[in-house]
Amino acid sequence: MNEILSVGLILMAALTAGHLAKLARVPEVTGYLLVGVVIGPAAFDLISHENVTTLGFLSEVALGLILFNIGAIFEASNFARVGPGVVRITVWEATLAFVLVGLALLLTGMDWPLALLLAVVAMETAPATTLMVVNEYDAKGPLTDRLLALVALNNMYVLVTFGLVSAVLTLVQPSDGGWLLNGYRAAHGLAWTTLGSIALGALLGVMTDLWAARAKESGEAMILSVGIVLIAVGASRWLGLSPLIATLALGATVANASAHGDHLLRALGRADPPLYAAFFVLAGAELVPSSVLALGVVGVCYTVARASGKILGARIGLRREEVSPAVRSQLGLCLISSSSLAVGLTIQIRSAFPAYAATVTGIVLAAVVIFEIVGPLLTRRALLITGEAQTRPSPLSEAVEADVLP
Amino acid sequence: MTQVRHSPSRASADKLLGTAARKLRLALVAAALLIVGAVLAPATAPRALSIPNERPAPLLEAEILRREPPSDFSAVPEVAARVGAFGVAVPRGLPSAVPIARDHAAPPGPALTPAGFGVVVSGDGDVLTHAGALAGRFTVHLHTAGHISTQAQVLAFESTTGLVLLRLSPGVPAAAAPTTDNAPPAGALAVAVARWLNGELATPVVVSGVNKGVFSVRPVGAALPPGTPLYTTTGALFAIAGEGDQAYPARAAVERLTARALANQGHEPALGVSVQPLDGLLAQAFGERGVLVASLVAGGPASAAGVEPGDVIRRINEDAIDSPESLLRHVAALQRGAQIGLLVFRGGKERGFTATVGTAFEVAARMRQRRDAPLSPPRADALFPAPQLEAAQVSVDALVLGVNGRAVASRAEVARELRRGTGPLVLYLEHEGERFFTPLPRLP
Repeated sequence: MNEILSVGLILMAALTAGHLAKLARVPEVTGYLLVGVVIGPAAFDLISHENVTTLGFLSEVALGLILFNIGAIFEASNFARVGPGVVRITVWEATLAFVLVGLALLLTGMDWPLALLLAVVAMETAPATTLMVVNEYDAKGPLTDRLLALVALNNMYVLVTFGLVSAVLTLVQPSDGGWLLNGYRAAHGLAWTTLGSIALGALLGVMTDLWAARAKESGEAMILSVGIVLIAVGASRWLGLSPLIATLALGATVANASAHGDHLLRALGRADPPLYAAFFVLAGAELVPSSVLALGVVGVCYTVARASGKILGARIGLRREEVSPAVRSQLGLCLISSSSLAVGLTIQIRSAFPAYAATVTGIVLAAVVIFEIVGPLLTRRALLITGEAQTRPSPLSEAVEADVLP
Repeated sequence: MTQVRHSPSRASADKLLGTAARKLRLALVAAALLIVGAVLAPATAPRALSIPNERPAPLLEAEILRREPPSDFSAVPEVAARVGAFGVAVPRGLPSAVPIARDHAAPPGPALTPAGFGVVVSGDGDVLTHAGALAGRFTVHLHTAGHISTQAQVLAFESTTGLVLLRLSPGVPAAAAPTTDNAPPAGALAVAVARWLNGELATPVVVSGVNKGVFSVRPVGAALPPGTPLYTTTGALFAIAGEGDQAYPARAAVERLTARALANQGHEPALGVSVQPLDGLLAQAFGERGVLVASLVAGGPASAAGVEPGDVIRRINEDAIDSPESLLRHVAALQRGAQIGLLVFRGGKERGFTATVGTAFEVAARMRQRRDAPLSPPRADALFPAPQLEAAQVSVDALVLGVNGRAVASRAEVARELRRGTGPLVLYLEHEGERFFTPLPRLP
């Protein structure tokens, strides 16, 4: 199938899946992902591996737009309100997931470098799915406020930790470069990915702001925001930076620079639904459900340890916060979803540590199938239980209420 | 539906970066950071993958791949056009790649190069490989994705292609490779993807031709170890490398081998003997009944029983054998490990031998060993005049292993043999790896 036809099919499938998802009382994201699995290579193969690969850039662009949106969470006054608490929660949930997964894998007899790499991947929470569910239910409230800031911080924390872990592993691995050169290479890599990406995002953000003052019409604003996100993603790839951090920083800078920023972000909100739908259908098409069957003991340990770490960590992090018991119990469950960054890290591990590539790929891809499907369902449930979901999916709102209220 | 609700818009001046001076400062700091970072970037490690253009280096020692096409890779014109797709095959192929250990006792360690490769082709843990990677072993050590060192046994073997289906020990998780029937056309680019403990291996391969369903492949670089899986540039397994430059369609092979294994015929019974019909002048020399043993696999069931080249097999158990086809039919009906009686006509007398039926896989393994033994018999044109050979359609460069059952080394010995009788000479020849008897009419 040619690419244009496949994009058309993806969008139509997404539309259908969105409606079916409402009927089935699941988030639209879940519908998109499942329809992706159905029309993808795993089942009917209407969208082939080749299509998925060629359309990979769509996913990258969509993820860039999503993170640009999420970056706006870092608007100073907004962040000052939830910031300190969210930092604490992020540190707890991600670190605990890291520690528990690492320990569990070591107990299964896995090599420590491999356990370390998998533990880092386990820290991640999917920003895209989380944002989609929050938006679908138009959620507002303490849980939602924290959740979006959490995933943004979480992703930055994961990237920094990944940088540190790869630096350690590069240093202990025998190589031809010598200790000093390797050490320098690792340190530079870490600083470049984090600080460099933030710098790129900030620079582009300031430039966007200059333009935004002139882009009065919403059409212009839309072109500007999409264009600048594309440049951020493309330039990061070109410079070897992290598109993820760069687009987050771009969003943060734009939101902090002037009132034009809000205008831009609002304009973007109208442009992206088809792209996001395509993003999730493609993400579904890339899932390999059968890999779950090959998960094995190690995979089960990984899955259970990750989920426990996230749930427990969020609870501990929330200890000093004044929130309702519902938020306290539900926040951790909202952090279960895992997707694009985990897959992205796996790809990086493949090239940096080929010896561990196969194991990491096997386990992470299988776990992503589970977390990607379960995650949005848990987030939706949490939003309904805490009462933060503003738009109940009609006409089933009563049934939904009956579903979540005791 | 896809927007974060932002805090209500406030006057620009209240924002963190609300003033022009702050924005300028941020932009300057960011630009400075980027410039400093780029300047301080360490020289990248030398690219491991290189395309040798003179002498192919041994693949496993010299060539390591990275998914990103390195700069020098694009220097190969035929690769350059489609190099972007190179990366797809690698992540798709790696989870199913298995290295096969050289040593039976040890799993393939980082320092050891594997004997060959295989690829997981079913969720049950079936691995497709080539007999060349097994070196005659029925049980091998291999290393699946998931860092599991495990054993695998030969489930089915196909003597015509040498392809083998291995079955992993039960319970070992294995991810099957995506396969396709759509092989790249001749001249197209494919990717060989394999993995062993200390690295991944991918090398571009050009499909140089397809003949009767067998691919000729030319790796851009060194030769492929047997059993190396070949992927299309879209990441689907389409062939598996044999020995030399041959590769066989993978999906069809898996279907054939699986069907054999399911029908409990994974191991064809075999005697390790190749025969030819007794017709024309050969019938004069050997009699009309039975089939003539042209060659034997040393150490194979027939050879171990005492059968020799030049013998005529007349019966298996109680059944008369009158053609090579009937021999094949009878052998196919035998059970592995069964004792059978062979009635053989040799030197004017019938003799009985008892052979233990083996399998095609064992026989192929022994044949592989035999190949290594060097032979230096004379060429046909060193013993006979070219016109005589031409008349008998014997190639002048065929090696003469025997004349009338005797080894000969010179024309004088041939002349002695000629004086012995008046019938045709029966030459025992080796040509293009095949051994056979052929009658040579006497010159008038």
